Amino acid sequence: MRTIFISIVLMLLCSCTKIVDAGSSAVDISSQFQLAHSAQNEHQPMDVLFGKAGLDFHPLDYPQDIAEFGKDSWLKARLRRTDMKLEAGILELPGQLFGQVDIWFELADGETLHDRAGTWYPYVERKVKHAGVAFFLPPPGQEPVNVLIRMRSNKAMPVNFTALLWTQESWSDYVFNQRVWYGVFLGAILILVINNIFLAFSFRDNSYFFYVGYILCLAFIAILVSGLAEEYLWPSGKLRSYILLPSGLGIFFVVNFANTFLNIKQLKPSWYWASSMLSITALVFGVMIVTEFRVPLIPDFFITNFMHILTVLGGAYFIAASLGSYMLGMKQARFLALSMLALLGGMVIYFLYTHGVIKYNVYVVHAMEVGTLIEGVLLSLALSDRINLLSSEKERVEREALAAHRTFSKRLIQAQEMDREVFSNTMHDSIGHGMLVLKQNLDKLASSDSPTQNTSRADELRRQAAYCGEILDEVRRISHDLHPHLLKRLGLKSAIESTVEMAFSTQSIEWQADIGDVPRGINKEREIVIYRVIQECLNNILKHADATEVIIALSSDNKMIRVNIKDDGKGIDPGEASEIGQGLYGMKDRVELFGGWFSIESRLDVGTHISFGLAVT
Amino acid sequence: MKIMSERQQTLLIADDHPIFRQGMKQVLEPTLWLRIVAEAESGDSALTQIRYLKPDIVILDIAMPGMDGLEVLEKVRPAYPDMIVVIVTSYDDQAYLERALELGVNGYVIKDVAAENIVQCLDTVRRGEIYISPTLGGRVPKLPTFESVELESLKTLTEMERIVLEKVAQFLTSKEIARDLCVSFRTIQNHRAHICSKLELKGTHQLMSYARKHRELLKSS
Repeated sequence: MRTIFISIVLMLLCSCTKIVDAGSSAVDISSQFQLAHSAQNEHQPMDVLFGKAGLDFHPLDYPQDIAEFGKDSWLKARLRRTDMKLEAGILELPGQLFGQVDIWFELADGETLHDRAGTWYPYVERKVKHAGVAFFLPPPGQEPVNVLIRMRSNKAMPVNFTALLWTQESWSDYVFNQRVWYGVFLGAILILVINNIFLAFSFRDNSYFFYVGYILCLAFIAILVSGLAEEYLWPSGKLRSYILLPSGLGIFFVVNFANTFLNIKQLKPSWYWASSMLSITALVFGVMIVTEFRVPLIPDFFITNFMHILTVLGGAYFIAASLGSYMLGMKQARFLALSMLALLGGMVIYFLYTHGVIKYNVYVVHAMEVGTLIEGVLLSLALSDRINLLSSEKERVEREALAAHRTFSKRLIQAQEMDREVFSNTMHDSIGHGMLVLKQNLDKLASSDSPTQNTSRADELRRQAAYCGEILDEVRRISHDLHPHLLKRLGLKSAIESTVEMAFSTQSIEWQADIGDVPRGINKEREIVIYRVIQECLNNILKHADATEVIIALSSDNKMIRVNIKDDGKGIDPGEASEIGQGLYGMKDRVELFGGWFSIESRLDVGTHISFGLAVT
Repeated sequence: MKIMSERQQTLLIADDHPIFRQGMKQVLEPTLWLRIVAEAESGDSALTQIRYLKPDIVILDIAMPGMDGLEVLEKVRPAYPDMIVVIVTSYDDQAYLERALELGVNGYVIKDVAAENIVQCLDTVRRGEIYISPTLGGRVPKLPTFESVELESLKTLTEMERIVLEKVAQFLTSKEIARDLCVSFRTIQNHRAHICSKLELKGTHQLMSYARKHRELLKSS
């Protein structure tokens, strides 16, 4: 993966230097031109060429944005190739697209020649087959030549007028190198696209598809802006500017890419919905503009300008979301922020040039393409970075889950062992002991013919039977503790009420209980959890709390059961909470295992309040 | 042998322990007006035999494999309203007794004392009365009914008592209420006792339940 990216970057650098080499042999004659504006179709070109139109020409203040909305821009100059010691054959107006460019040459003998180029004229009619705008100069011999250029564009696009003279050889070198550049550029995009489509399918992750969509939009924009679209896609003329279609689509893809990649839906749902609205609006408007679908009452220029605002907002959102997520600790967002900055950097340089702030050179013209490519590579890196982060995250979560599971099992085993110990002791101490005494007494009764003087044999037997009754009570109590048979037969409400009553009836503890009805559809396992936790709480209160009052409430709606148990005892001392602590962990584990919550509030000498909740199913 | 003027009553014993059934049979053998017609060792078997034999009296254990005694009772009662059903069980939980009475049982005997009491029990239920083992109180427990105590009895409460009742509804212990109201714990205990007697509640156990049920009423009155 990394090697692919490194080789792409190296190839880019090589082709850049080749273009620069070729570019150095051109001569910039922009500052020889004079500029004037007129309303469209106000003047005949010949009148302007021969100076009959009375237009007020000023020297060009190069670099300068010469575009004026809705007007024709006229540029004229007097060329003397002999002065330049150059066998120039071609005049190029590089760097940007024009709707219509018409050029007239007035030769020394008074003959005039006309040629034209630009995106609104069919490519097939161009004399110089070039993606940009270029014209053949008249053959040498007729010097000086007066040149008049008329530029016309209905869009409020800035134009930084530049004129370059090329010799035939350096021109063909230049054209070749430019083709190499675009070949490398589009090839790199293709590699990124294929690579990420492959990853998208193998990881089943939508963010890769959004990435691919976005990168394809950027590439399409580059094809449109560079004029390759006229050369290869619409050679016989294209009816409209498609540029806002990939812009709208691009916003849609890039916003959704950020949202799925950074998981914004969970992180900040409000951002997610706002940005989704923005992206869908951009998509709809982009399609509307290109299909020339007109909405009544909404003027065209509004939609166009609105699209420009959406584009800026989309980019801003992307940066804000990635920086925001990065601050929140999402490491993979770093590449996102960087990549968008690269693209924006490229765009800023390009627009500084087209708005006439900086002069033409070969770097600035391709700045946007370089930015696009850097962004594509960085985003792709972000995606592969994400695989690493996600897999390490997954490993961490799995490790934690395993550890939690182990602690839980350990605690469960401990709790089981403790229970068994308690039951074993009870069986041995009370039942075993009781039976032993009973056996001895019965043996004694059997062996002695005459029982003690004062009691008859029947009385003695009755005494032993009563003793049996006590043992039976004990057995019943243990059986009740071991399995809540009431719960199974009479349901949670009765079982809890009965247990509470049994726990406190023999104690001098005031108790109040408000046990509401339990929803019918409750899961049996959950009933047992609720019952057991309450049982454990009551046991704790009896054993440790030293309470005078206990209040218990169970309430539920159709989804959730909530239990509150409060005592006014001495509270849990965190210093000596080991045994109780284990019991509390056990309760918490039980409740949390079923997706519930458990909370405990305890203050020394004030009491303890335990509350927990569990979903019904 | 004295010949009974009335015909013998038929009896079915359902219990999963053969020893217990055996013992029961021994105890009941001398009772001349009774004839044991069937034994069942599970709830399902009991139900089938009841439907087929239609005995006059049924003795049911609660804990049996499959259908338990209460479920059998629930199914039997609507179909045979006159059949005498006695539960003989080792469970002394009040909840079972309440449930059994709800389902229309005629007698409830704890197994510990079954040998001594069963004959007396059958004599009682035969007369159309209800018999409950003396260890369980021997009487039909009074189920709490809040419907009788309404706004009227609430109005008899003093302002202070009403405040205490509201605090009880808010899930506060007496100690907490005492602290909130800056009075002694004893005072609150007294208030609670008074409230209980005024509202005719059986014990303070029901106080919170009552208070929470009548929260709205408390606020409005």
